[in-house]
Amino acid sequence: MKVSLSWLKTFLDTNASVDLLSEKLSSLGLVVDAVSNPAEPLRGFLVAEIMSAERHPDADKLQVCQVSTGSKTLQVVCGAANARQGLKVVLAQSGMTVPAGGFKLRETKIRGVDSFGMLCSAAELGLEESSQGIMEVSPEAPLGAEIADVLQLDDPVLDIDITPNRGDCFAVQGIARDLAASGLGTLKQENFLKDQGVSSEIGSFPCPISVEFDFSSSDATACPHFTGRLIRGVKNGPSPRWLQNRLKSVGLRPISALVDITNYMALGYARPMHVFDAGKLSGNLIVRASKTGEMLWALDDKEYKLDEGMTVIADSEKVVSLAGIMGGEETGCTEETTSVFVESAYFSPESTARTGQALGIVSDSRTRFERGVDPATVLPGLDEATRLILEICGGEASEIVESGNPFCHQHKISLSLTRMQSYTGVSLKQQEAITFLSDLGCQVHIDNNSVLNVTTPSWRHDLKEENDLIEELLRLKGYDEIPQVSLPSVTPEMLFESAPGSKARQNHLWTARRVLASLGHYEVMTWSFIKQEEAILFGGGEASLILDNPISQDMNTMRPTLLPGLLKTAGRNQARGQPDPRLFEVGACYHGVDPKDQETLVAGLRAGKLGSRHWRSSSDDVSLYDIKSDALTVLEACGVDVNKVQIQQEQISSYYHPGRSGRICLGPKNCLAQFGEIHPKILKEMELSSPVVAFEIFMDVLPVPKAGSLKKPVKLSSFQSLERDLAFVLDDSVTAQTVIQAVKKVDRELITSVEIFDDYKGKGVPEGQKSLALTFRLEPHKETLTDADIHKIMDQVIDSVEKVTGGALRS
Amino acid sequence: MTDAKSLQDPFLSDIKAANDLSALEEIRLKALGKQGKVTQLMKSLGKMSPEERQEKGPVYNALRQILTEALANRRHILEEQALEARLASEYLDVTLPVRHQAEGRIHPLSQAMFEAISILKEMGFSVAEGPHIEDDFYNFTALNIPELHPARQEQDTFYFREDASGQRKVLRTHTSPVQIRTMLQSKPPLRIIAPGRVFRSDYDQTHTPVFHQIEGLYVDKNIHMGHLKGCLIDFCRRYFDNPRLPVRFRPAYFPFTEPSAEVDIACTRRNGQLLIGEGEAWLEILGAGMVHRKVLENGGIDPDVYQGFAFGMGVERIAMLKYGIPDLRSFYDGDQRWLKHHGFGAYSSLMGGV
Repeated sequence: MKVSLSWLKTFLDTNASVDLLSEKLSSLGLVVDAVSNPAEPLRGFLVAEIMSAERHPDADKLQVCQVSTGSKTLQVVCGAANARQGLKVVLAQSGMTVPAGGFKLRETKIRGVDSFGMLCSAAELGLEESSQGIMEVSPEAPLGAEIADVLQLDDPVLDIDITPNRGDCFAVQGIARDLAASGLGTLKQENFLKDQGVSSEIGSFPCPISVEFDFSSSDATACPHFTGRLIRGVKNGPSPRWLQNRLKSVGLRPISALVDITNYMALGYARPMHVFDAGKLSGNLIVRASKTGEMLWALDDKEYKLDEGMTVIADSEKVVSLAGIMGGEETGCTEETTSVFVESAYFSPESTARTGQALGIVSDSRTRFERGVDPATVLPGLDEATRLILEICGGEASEIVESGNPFCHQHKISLSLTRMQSYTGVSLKQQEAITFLSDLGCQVHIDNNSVLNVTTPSWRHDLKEENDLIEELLRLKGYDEIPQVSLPSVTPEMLFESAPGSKARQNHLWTARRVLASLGHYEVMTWSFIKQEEAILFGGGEASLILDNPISQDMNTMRPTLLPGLLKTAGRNQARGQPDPRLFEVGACYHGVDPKDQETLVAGLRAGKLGSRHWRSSSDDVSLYDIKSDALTVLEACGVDVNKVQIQQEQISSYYHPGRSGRICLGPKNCLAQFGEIHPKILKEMELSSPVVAFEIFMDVLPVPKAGSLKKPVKLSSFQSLERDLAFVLDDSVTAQTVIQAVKKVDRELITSVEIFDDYKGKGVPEGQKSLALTFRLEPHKETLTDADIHKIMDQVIDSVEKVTGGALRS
Repeated sequence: MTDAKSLQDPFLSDIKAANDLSALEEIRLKALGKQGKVTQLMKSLGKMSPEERQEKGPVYNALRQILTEALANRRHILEEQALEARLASEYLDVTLPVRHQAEGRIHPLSQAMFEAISILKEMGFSVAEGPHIEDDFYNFTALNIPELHPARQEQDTFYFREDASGQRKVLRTHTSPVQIRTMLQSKPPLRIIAPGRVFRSDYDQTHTPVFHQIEGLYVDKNIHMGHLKGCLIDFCRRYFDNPRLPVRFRPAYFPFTEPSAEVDIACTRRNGQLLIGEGEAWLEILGAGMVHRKVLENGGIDPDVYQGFAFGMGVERIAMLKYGIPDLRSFYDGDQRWLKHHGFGAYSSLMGGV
């Protein structure tokens, strides 16, 4: 909402500077976004007179003018045809910047003749969109005066951010009222729109157009009061300069007197109105709910198809206006209009909002009705608009026609200042509170318990209960008065968990971030929604997870996993000269719309080479073992015993390479993570080159320690431990995990670790077989192992592996 | 029988001339080895008469002593020379660059979130959670935002399609629904924060469709606006690490609080960078207020017994301010070069008492 200082001052008597006003408004909750002054860019542009104008010796279309500002005379070369002796003009001197072009003037020679300035056109000054010749200033304008002062442009404009609860402040008078209540000036009550009881006296003939409601009972609250009158014999043309300036100052383009008057009513008093060309109406007006399929060609030059139940104004043939939002083009006023029907009514916020939202129309009228217009201004508004029309356009006004009844929108609220203090920490004297409330338009009575009984003004729809009044008092007193009180210390019973174990799970996410960053990964954050086709590739894309109003079709479906976002980000990085991205994300994925369908994942990927080329080591392509290591490191840091996990190769998501991927499980059913090479088909779809390896950890299923559970005490052996190596020739299909488990199960206490140190295929090993070499560690706890003990164990290990795998010890 | 005197000088000159340890060893063997000439002399003592032994003994012993010392001295010199030669031959170019332990980065939003959560936890708040896909009830209605209210339109909500029962789920537009979920789940006193992702259908220079908020809620019997002010001023000063940071409260409007406030911190713009804590300008960083009676009621809490405050802040904004990050959209681009610059290393980040 833009307000010019001069308009504001028609309602408020104040000497406060613009800076002070805007600071005060912000501290009242009416935040001033910007202050501008149309005079600023014209500072230094002076009124001057052309003393003489002679043909340029070397150019037919140029004149050499001697220009006087009263105190000095300059020579200016000018190309405008209307430059002539005796004309008052606007002079810009060298060093100044011309508003429209933004260029700086310099002394110059034009075709050999010195020129010390420029005579400006209205367009160059930014006053008109286009103009012919230089601007001709009124002969009465004093020489040497600032043109901004002569044109009365020195009028700062405040752009104020009005919160949705303050419908009353979508009026210059409303803003003035808040400022006055805060002590920054006094109100000029006489200029406020209020019932002066003159309405019946203006009308000189009965209104030929009648108005009636035709609502079913469910729609009846949409328009409780509708009034209007005919004015005949009007002449519609450009509105007078004062009105045009008012509207221009707040960025509105003047259209015609009748339209400008309604805009003036809306902006000045938050009293939206509508003026129909009565000559284009058929019969009487009916305020009713629309029927499905009715059409309106509105003033924004668009055609709207109406739904059932929108509040409209119709004549005997068709809908002529969307109540409180926008009138129809066909019944709008033009230069030819001679007879008008002026409407002033109250439309409910709900009804206005419903229609406005459904049709997507934004208008000054909708903005106001939607936030609540003062219902007490229906008749005073009609009177004031009538007065302006008669004054500007002439004509003769009819008596008023009316449907429904004037109603009032006031609340009676009890307010206790004791409660205010316990609620805000601020104490207020009773008299101070009464003054503040009265200044806002409330009526206040004190009962014997020193409770204030407050009746709210009709324009403040937002004041409904005690806390609303407390905020008003606090606002006017100033939020700086609120004391700064430290919080009471926390007691253990105030500690809270959304769900058992949620604290441990939150900590897992921080741990995962630290671990992955230490492993060289970069944390990224990607959108939670992706392209549906991509969601389908990754096992999602259900209809229930598609957004109805996405930013774009590329962002329309909730992600089933973090990988699509990571892969896209990897691709972007590669395109920007980062060939080996290492990325991870911590975030939510979605398998349905219920809370239980949301899942927290940590996922990471590596692409390209494991490391950059270096003199000390070769640079290998990333492999699934690198990413498996990443995943296991995170799991271990989050408290998972990685010696207990099983790697499964079944039921892996289809976006992994089927032969190069696995699941990390704890027990047969509890899958903690997946890892592997991304399927070549997926890489192709996402325009990435191989290799890309990735993992996903399902953080919600990681085990969390039970409260109060303790680790078992550690037993450290004092006997000599030893390591032994064995190699087996095995069928290719035998997995390392099978062999390791076959070794471990021989004696889970004695054999404390098993490592594979060679995996060989080729010369010396038959086709279709491999040699697996392993080393295991024996840690006795009761006594030192004898040679016989060791032999026995070795035989048992060989036996176990051969039996489980069908392989043989490599000789 | 060789005279001791005639042995001494040739051996001494040989020792001096020996150029390496093996030549020296040869000389030692010739003189002091089992068959060595000096050893032979020593052995001859046994066959001598006591008088002769009395005379020759000290002479031979002296010879052996002199040669032993000369050999040891020469050995020491030769060993030193050999070590020097070895060290000279073992020179390496220590300026060759090493392979860096690849260092990754933690996202600045994670860091900001962690710092803020840590401070608030120390102030006694616990972390609560809620889903991203919300019911209209939790996101709007329970928070006193009726269906046709302009405040609802200002939020640019993402909607899902209607389900069979005509319900439309939304992506939560703020973390405030966690207030309602927590109130319905637990009894006061409640002292929680809810950090997390939120969503609005807006994408331009200063808006991303996904962003992060931290919600705070404190409900008890006598928590008033002074506590809210104390809490948020303490938070701002600790987060921005400036005990004198000017903080200002202004009236504002949120449907779910009454009275409502916006919180500004002092700042100034210098050389294109925003500096926090000095200057005459104010920058909004928080919204807050006393929880609206209707919201308490909707959360199953009696507003005549309990009262309290709530606040919400944008994590992107406080991260940009604290770390000097100029462009909001860069948070979601995932450019490794940007992350390397603005992100945090594994060992220097996420510090604080979570």
